[in-house]
Amino acid sequence: MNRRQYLAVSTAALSGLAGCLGEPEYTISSVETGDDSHPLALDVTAVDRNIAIESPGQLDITLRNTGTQDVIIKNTGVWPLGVLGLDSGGESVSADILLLADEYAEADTVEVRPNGASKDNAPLTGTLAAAESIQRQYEIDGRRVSSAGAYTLQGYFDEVPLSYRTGQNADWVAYHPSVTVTLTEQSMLP
Amino acid sequence: MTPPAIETDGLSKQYGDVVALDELNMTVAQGEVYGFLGPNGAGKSTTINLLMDYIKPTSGTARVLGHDPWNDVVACHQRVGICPDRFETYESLSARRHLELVIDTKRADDDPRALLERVGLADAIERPAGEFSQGMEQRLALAMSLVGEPDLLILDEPFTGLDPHGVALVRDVVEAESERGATVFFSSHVLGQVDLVCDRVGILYEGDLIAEGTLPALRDTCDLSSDATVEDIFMRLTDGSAHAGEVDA
Amino acid sequence: MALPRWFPVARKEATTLLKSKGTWILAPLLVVWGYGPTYISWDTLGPDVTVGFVQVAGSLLLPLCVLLLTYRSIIQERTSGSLKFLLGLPLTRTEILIGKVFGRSVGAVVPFAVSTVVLGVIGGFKFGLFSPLRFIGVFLVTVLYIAVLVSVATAASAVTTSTVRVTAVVFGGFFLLLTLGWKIVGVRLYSAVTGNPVNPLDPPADGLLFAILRLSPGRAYRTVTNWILGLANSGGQYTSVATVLYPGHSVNEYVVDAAFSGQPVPAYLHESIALVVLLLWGVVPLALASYRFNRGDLA
Repeated sequence: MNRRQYLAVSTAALSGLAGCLGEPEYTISSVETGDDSHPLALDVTAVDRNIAIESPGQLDITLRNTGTQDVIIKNTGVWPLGVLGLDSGGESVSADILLLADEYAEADTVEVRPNGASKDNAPLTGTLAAAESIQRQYEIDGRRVSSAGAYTLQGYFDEVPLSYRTGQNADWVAYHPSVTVTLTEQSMLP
Repeated sequence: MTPPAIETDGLSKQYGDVVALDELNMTVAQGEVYGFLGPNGAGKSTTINLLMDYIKPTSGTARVLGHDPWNDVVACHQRVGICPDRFETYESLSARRHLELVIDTKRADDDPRALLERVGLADAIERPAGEFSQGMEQRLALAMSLVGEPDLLILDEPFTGLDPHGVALVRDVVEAESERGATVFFSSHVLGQVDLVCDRVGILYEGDLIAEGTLPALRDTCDLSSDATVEDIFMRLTDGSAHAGEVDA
Repeated sequence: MALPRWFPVARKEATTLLKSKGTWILAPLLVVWGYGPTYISWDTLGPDVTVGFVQVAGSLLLPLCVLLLTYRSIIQERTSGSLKFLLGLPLTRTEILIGKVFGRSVGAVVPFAVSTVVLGVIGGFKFGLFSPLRFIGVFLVTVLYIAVLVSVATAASAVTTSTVRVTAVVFGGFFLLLTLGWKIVGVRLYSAVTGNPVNPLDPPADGLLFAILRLSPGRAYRTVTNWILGLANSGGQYTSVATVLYPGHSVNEYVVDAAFSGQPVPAYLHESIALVVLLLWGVVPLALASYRFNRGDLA
């Protein structure tokens, strides 16, 4: 191969390669939890920040009853957190990224499909005793992430993942978690 | 009886309407040093190309060391050494690699260095041929032709591109090979350089062999004095229709 | 056993390639080109996704570079006159062609082998231990594919008298039409012959369509390697094939299993036939070229 051919081929090859090093992988670069005055509080920890092809990222989400009274929690899908998602604030009906949990497979109320999910709308209720907490693991599958950015944790289907009340006769209160999860794209080049 | 080194019978080559070689009948005996002379375009290279199976004849036959040069190419080339005209060497390969290619293909046991010493290139044995001058390439090709002690050495314009030292070297090689018993068949358009080495010459002109014989015999035929050169013979034979300038070109 | 007579010619060809910078630049390019995991292919193949990298490395850049490294191998010697040395050796012209093909193939396989090892290490590190048998199998089929490409380019180089023509035949014809663009050309051909339109996202279960597609050496190569991967019967890149098979996804690729879903598949669409197609590409053009090369004037 002479010099000209060699240059032509390597230029063509390298420019073609720019977007070819596999599909993008992400890092959970930060998780920020806002203060809320509810009797309910969420603690979100990124247990596995690496959203790679071979292994999803993992969030441990703990729902705490910070109050002195038992809280009755009502939602759909799986109890108590439901089918969660991360949303970038766009117009779409459901959240942008579906968070996956092992409970979905165990429950017959949630069906996860390769490019979406569906659920049964029958309400589930349960009680979280005062000062108790409950922890669930959710995974972020990189295939379901289409871009890096800041996402808000919310219900996948409805913005509100759950409702609660502190007594049998109290009104149901919609719970808005305020958790921001930031994903950044991993670069192949150091 | 040993067959002639080269024997052609009505050997012709045409390219379209152009006759490059016209019914050549020529015999070169084994052990001879035969100078194949003529101006550029006379058909010398065409003849060698035919004998080496570089090209196929339009008509006629030939035998090289008793073999059919086109259908029995392996047996034929096993015993022939060729130093071609108008060639380039392999620029990335060293002189040693060039010789190994020939030595190993012929399954000969020559030492590349010894061969290169014979042509004065031993110092350049590991250098890639891409760095060689034309004269060095010519010497390398000559060394390649000597591999395996060939019975027939075909040298196509071996003096081209050589300085006086190189010319003397080719003459020495031709003499040494002839003494060993090899037949040497070489072509040249530089007539002045062949007097000293040839047993016999053939003169080719416009695709025809117009004269053939030992130099004394040719001088007699042409009625020239004993100090006449091949050039004079050539001028006489072509009746001055080829000018000396063209012959030397 | 004695080495064949053409072996020194093959050694010279391999040495020439391995001394050229172009050959060695191929190795890192193939690694970068071949490495391209997708979520779906990981989901489908698991650690064997690494084996797929080798297929991708072998799919576009490798043919292009192998053709570039070979297409002038004879015409160049003919033009420069160095062919006179080869023709002057005690070899038949066919043996010269075989030596050329063998030597250039080895010269091209070496950098490919280096990149295969690197891809194996990178992939094995990230995705875990893959099936060594599949990995070696795909490597060997790629080696065969390299030999086929060298054979085709040598054949073209042997029968033309101008570099321009051999460039047109090898890159315009063989590479662009038959290797790179055959998915489009082949489907058009099928539609022209049968009059059936083809929806690329939902191709008809017609054996002829798939048979035409499989005539491309590149698609035949991928059919065999997808077979070794245990993926599906298709001449597409493994990532595309995995996507076609993935529920809820579709992509413009022709997969026998998807198109025929449940219907009987004609025997000639078996993957082993693609191996035969590949072998024919290695033998037929060279045999035809050899026939002409043996009879032509070469100086």
